[in-house]
Amino acid sequence: MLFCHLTTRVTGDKYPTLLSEKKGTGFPYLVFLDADGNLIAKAGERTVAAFQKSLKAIADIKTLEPKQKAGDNSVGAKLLIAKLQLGTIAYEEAKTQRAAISKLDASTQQELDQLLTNLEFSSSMQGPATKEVSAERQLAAAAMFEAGRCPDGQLATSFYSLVMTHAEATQNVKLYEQALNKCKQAIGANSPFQRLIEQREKVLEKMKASETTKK
Amino acid sequence: MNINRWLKLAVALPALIGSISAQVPAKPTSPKAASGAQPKQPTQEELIVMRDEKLALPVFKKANWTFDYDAARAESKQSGKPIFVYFSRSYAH
Repeated sequence: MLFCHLTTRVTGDKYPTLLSEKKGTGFPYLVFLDADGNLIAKAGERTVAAFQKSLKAIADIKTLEPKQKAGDNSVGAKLLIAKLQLGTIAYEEAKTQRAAISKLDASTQQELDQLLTNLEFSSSMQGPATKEVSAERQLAAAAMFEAGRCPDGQLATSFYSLVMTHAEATQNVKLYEQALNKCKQAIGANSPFQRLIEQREKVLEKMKASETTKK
Repeated sequence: MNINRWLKLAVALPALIGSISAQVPAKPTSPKAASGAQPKQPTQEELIVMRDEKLALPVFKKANWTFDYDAARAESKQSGKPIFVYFSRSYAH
């Protein structure tokens, strides 16, 4: 069901405040609503693949939630994956639900933990970034990196940038190099972030030179 | 929900995505003119023309879009499908 709502400023047009009622703050704003007009989820990336993924997740939730309520705990992982894909669950709640799930096949476990890692990072990025907060975020990202929890997709670039900024501030050449290599792998060769990578490579060279001089 | 039926709708998405990408991100739409004077606000008649032009865009002919919120909810209730909503505006290009 495709519905386009136009904010027109024409006097008398129906539902002039629908955008703000559905938590929209700008245009364009893409969401999924249920038949009562309740917000199910905000649309993710603006690609056909992401749209299809969102639809599947909505369908999964609709099918699996009643089963879980009826006591079928085998659907827990799939349900949590769907909620994480739609971004309809807070990190702490997702972490609690994840802890209660065991006996997963390797592929489901990997998918679930990656989505949880992505949520952990995106949650830590909420709110304004003061100088102190930025330093805390860099430290937290470095800790996630060293623990092997690295966000993927659209989050990868900002994540690795934070790790490298922390490594540069603490003159940790090894960490910087590891994060740079992972960043290159994550964003691929044809990324619009190639210039950023080149800049980071120059920083690494300087850090290595400085380290050699000290020795 | 029948995913295959939804996939048909996804055919229209690239056109929608292209249309959306061409839009300027939301910002307050009353920038002051270089002189510092407030820009002229469109009249109701002009706003109606702008709305109708927006509704006539080809992208909305590529799939079965509705512009009626009540109709969208009624159809969703009947079909059991969620509503995919594209919020846009017509008072600024």
